[in-house]
This record gives sequence, C-alpha cells and structure tokens, in this order.
Amino acid sequence: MDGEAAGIEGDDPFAQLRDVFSGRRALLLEDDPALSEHVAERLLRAGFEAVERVDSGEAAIAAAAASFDVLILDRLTAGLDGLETLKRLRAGGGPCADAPALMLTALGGERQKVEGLLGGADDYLSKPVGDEELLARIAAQLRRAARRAAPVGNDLVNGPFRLAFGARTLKFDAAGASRLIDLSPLEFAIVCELMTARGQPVTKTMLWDRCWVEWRFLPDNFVNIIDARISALRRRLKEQAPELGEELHPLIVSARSQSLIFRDLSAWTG
Amino acid sequence: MPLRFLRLRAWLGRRTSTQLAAGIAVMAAVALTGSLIATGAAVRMDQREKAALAALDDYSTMVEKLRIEASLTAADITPADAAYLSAWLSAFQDGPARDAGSLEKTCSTGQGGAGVRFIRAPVGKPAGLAALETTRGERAPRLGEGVHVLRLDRGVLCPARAVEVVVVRRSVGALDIAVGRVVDRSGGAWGWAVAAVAAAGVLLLAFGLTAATFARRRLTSAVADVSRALDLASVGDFSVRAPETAVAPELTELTGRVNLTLDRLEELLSWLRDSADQLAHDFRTPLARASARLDRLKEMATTPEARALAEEARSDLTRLTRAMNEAMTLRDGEAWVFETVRLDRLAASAAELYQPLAEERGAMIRVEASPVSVLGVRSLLQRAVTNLVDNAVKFSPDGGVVTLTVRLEDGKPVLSVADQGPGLDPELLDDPARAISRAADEGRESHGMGLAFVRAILKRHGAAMTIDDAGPGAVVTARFSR
Repeated sequence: MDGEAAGIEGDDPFAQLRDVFSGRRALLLEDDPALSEHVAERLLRAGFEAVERVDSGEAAIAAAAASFDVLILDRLTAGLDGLETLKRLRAGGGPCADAPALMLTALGGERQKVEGLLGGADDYLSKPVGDEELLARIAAQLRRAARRAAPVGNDLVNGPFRLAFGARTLKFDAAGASRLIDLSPLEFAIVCELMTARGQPVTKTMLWDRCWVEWRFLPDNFVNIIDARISALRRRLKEQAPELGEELHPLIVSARSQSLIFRDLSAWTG
Repeated sequence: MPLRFLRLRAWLGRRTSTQLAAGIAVMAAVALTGSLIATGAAVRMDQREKAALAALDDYSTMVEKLRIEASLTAADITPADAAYLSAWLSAFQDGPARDAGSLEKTCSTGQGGAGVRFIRAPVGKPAGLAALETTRGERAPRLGEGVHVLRLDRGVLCPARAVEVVVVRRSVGALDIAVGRVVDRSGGAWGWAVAAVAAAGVLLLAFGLTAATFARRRLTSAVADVSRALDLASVGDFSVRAPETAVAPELTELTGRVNLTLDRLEELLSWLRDSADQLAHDFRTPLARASARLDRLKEMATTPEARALAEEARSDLTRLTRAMNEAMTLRDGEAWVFETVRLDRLAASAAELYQPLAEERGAMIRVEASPVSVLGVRSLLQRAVTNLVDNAVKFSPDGGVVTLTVRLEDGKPVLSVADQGPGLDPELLDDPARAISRAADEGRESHGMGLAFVRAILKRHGAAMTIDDAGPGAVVTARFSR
C-alpha cells in the first residue's frame, strides 16, 4: 500500500502538504544531534522553509526572539527541560507565545502526557515517531492555528455535506433536498475529525487520540479496530448518500499506511 | 501459673477500654461498699463503747449511792429492804446519769443515750425493766466486766423501734443489778461517714467515666486519622500523614512508625517512577535514532532484499518498543493512583470497541454483566480487558460467540472472557509462561501472547488469573480479591 500511494505522486496527500509547509519556520529543541538532524531534514524535505535547531532550553528561549510557526520540543533536555521552556515561552509574551507546540519525548506515559498538555503543549508525541505521524500532526497544528486566527462560520461544508459542530449533525444536500445522515456519536466524531482536516491526511493514532478519548492508551491492534470501524462507516455513508455515485465511494480513503482522508467533494455538482 | 497469666492477658486483650473502665467502676463500687461496711462497724463499736462507759458510770454512781457494797447478803435482806430498794430505784430512774437523753427522745429519733435499770432482791418484787434480765444478750468482755449487748425488740422498750442496749449486769451482795444505756444506732459520725464515702464514690465514678470516655474518644479519633492516612496511601495518595503529636500518647510511637513507613514507601515509589522515566529516556532515544536510520536505509535501499531486511528490522524495533512500553506502563508513576472502576462498564465499552472487528470476523460479542466495581488503575484495567477481548475475537471461529461476564462471586468481583476458539494448548495450561515464550520465539501468535501482560496487570490489582478449557474454546477468568 505504501508503494501504491507513493506511485501516484500527484495524489499523495503527503506531497500536497508541501503547500501547507512551504514558507513555514520551525523551532526544534532536541539534544540528541542525530535525531535533531533527522527531524530537521524531514521537515525541510517536506517543504519547511527553515528549521532552527537548538539543544538546550536556554538556547530555545534565546532563539524564540524570532517568530516561528511551530515549536517542536523534546521533553527531557539538560538544564531547562522542554516543558519548562514551553511554560516560559508561553508566559513571556514573545513572538512565539501563541505558536503551536508539539512535545516530542521519550516520556510517553499518561501522566506525562497530561503534564505536557497542561503545561501548554498542543500535542504530545512519544518517541520513536514516524515521519508520517510527525508531518500529519504538524499539519494539524498549523490548521488549528490558522482556524484560531480566522474563525470560520459554524458549519463546515464539503460539497453536498454540511457538518454542524453545534448541533453535532451531518446533513446531505442534494437536488434541493436536505436530509440528516444517521451516525452514531463515535462515527460523527470520526467524520468531524476527518472533514476538519479538509483533505489533509489524519493518522490513525491522531484519530484514536481524538475520537476514542475514553481509552487512555493505544491498544496493540488499534489499526485493526479503526479499520473495522471505518469500513462500517464507509458502508453507512454509501447507503445514505447513494447520489454521489460509485466512483466517489468510499468517501474515506487511505493515505500511505497509517492515514485517512475524507474526500474533497467541493468539485461535485449533483 | 505462667499459662494462667497468659490467659488472663489474652482475656484482657479482648476487652475494649469501655469494658475495662466499666470493670474498674464496678470494682470501685465494691471497694466503696466494703469501706462503708467497715466504717459502719467501727462507728457502731464506737457507739457501743460510749454507751458502755456511760452505763458503767451509771452503775458506779448507783453503787456508791447505795453504800451497801458487799455488806448485803441474801440472809440480811428483808422484804422491807427490798421494798426500800425498789422505791429507791424508781426514784433513781431519772437519777444521777449525766448526758442521758430522755426515753421519749430515744424512741422517737433512734438517738441513743436513754438509761435503763433493773434490780432484783432475794425477797420482794424486782424493779425496773424486766427484759434486761430475761433477754439473752451477747457478752462483751472488751467493753468491761459483766457488760452485755442486748437487742430489745420493737415494743419491749420503744413501741415503734427495736433498740440495742449495753447493759452492766453485776451482783452487789444479794442484789442483781442491771444498768444500761441505749446505743446510738447511727449517730452523726455514721451519717457523715456515709455521706463522705458516697460523695467520694459518685465523684470517682463520674471522673472515671469521663476520663474513660475522653481517652476512648481521643484514641478512636487518633486511630481514625492513622487509618485515613493508610487508606489514602493504599490507593496511591501519599499527601496525608498520621498526626504525630497532639494525639493519644499511647499512639505516638505507632503514628511515628506509620509515618516513617509511609515516607519510605513514597520514597521508593518516587524512585521507581524517576528511574522508570530515566529508563524510558535512555531506551527511547536510541530506539528513535535507530528507527529513523532504518527508515532512511529503507529509502536508500536498492534491492528488494535490502528493503525487506530494513522492514523486518523496523518491525523488530516496533516489537521491542512495545515490550518496553508494557514494562514501563506497569512501573510508570501514572499507575500508582487507584480509583473506583466499574468493571461492567469497562466490559461493555470493550465489547463496543471490538464489535466492528468481531463482525468482520463473523463473531459475536455478548456481555453478561452486573454492576461491580473494583479499585484500580483505569488505564491498566482497560488494557487488560481489551487484551482479553482482542485474543478471544482473534481466535473465534466463524459464527463464534465471545462472552464477557462480570459478576460477584462470594462478594468478590470476577471478570471472565470466554471464546469458542480452538481452546488451549495443553502445554499452555501446564506452563503458560514457557508456552508463551516458545510461541514468541517461533514468531507465531499464541493464545497466551498478550496474557503475560494481562497477568502482570491483574497481579498488580491483587487479582488472580486462571485459564480454563471451556470445551470448546478457552475461558480466561480474573478474580479480584476486593
């Protein structure tokens, strides 16, 4: 599946992230030189304009005098640790005070995750983390930052679908008629998460973190669990939106090995 | 003897302090009553002595007045003498006695002091109170020669009261004379003694009970404080210590030790947590580095063989990461705080989680649960239950049913997951650990793969895990001890 996705270069949603990342600048705090280099190289290859690498919290604070679009911080660093650095950056009111921050860390426990999120991190990833995961998560944070800057209206429209966040409903408008798509709360949460990404890939771990919130850990075969759930969801959507035609189903497609995308239907015209 | 002593100590050990306090109160009451009786006896003796002295005094006065000493003999006494003596005695009735109370007063109040007389001559009629001669009394040589203590029944001397009389019975020449005084029954001293002893008793009882109640309450609340600290510690909260001062002094040493133990435990746990953090860091960083390098290697690989090798090495690393995560999960600090977890709800959500997967495999999940909760770490219990359900779904045949049961057995929570799969390797039943590790070595999935982790989680919750043949299929049961 990996090769298949890579084969269709134009359709690879990860290649499309290049547009999202272009012109972006990242601050990377990581005291392991090899890892730091690896991450920086990945980000630059994915389209980032610049990645400022620092190996201590103090250096990160000094560097944060400049503006960055995203902060990637290791939790355990000599001297000032990543969490403390982030707290100071958030409290300092500098140009990076509101930048989205990802904690990238060796401490992956539930407790540390909560500490990290309470400390001001927007996302918390435990090492080792694959490229796909890292890039999709950074893209999600950039999306959220953009939404914060320019809040859109209540409803999210994707072709004939209209997602109402407040009412927690998904409507299907076709041929002048509008009808509700019947979804379970979990299915709605999944659709909501995928549609909010607006065509960008969402990894299955991201989906797990956001939709299966009651489970405080990642089961070994969460991929199978999610796949089974997604298959059922695809069938439901197909049953309830047959107008879309065979070629547009399934509406939820896989990208690379670990990600999912809700098809962009803005070009659809009944 | 030592055995009896030990038995007594054991018996005392089984008494509550209230029972002991009540015992002391009863013993105090017995002692007070005893002292009251002793005091009463002493007072009575004192009153008899007083009466005896007065009676002896009366007697000697009478004898002096008679001036007959031993000169009167039976032969000398004539009826005329006897008549004279009788008349004299009657005249003397209210006679020479000092401090004598009147008979009326004695009879109406019970106070002593009234004098009584009797005289008998060999001829003529005897004079005075005949009962003094006829009533058999008790000799009281301690009080004087010829002194007797008589008890005169109601109606003999006083119409409404029985009295005690001390009488001097002596013969003077041919005359038999009995001179006596009524003994003061109670008297002022007796009253005062009773009042003092009773007051002391009441005070003692009140003070004793108050002290016992206070001590008991103090002890109870101190024990409650200690229990609270221990209870919180048992669910992972070390913020509370037992109060060391300002509690019952009996407990000071105990609370000190309890706190020392809690300190030590907290220290150990925090060390375990910190060392787990450090280990996680020390392992994850090189793992992350190796993963990154393997990814690059895979990209640069020119032959399919090299790519496959890189991929295999990557999946080895994934397995290693997983094993490390499991080890860390059990030791991580997140897992020290216990909360109440509803097992039935947990089972229901695990069933819901696996429903689509089970449907794809043509299996069904059924939940038979009654509301049961255990104290535990939610995320760990979630892991255990999902692991069991995962296994059961994985090994279910087409159309098989996975049954989750949550119930109380003898008041203890039990959770079981049954499948209708191929059942268990008999080897697994005998020695699960070996069978699992063998299967893992051979790279094949075994029913027991995840079970070692589940067993470790359950053990941390004081639960025992058993695997039984359900014929067909296997049933894994977790029995919680509380």
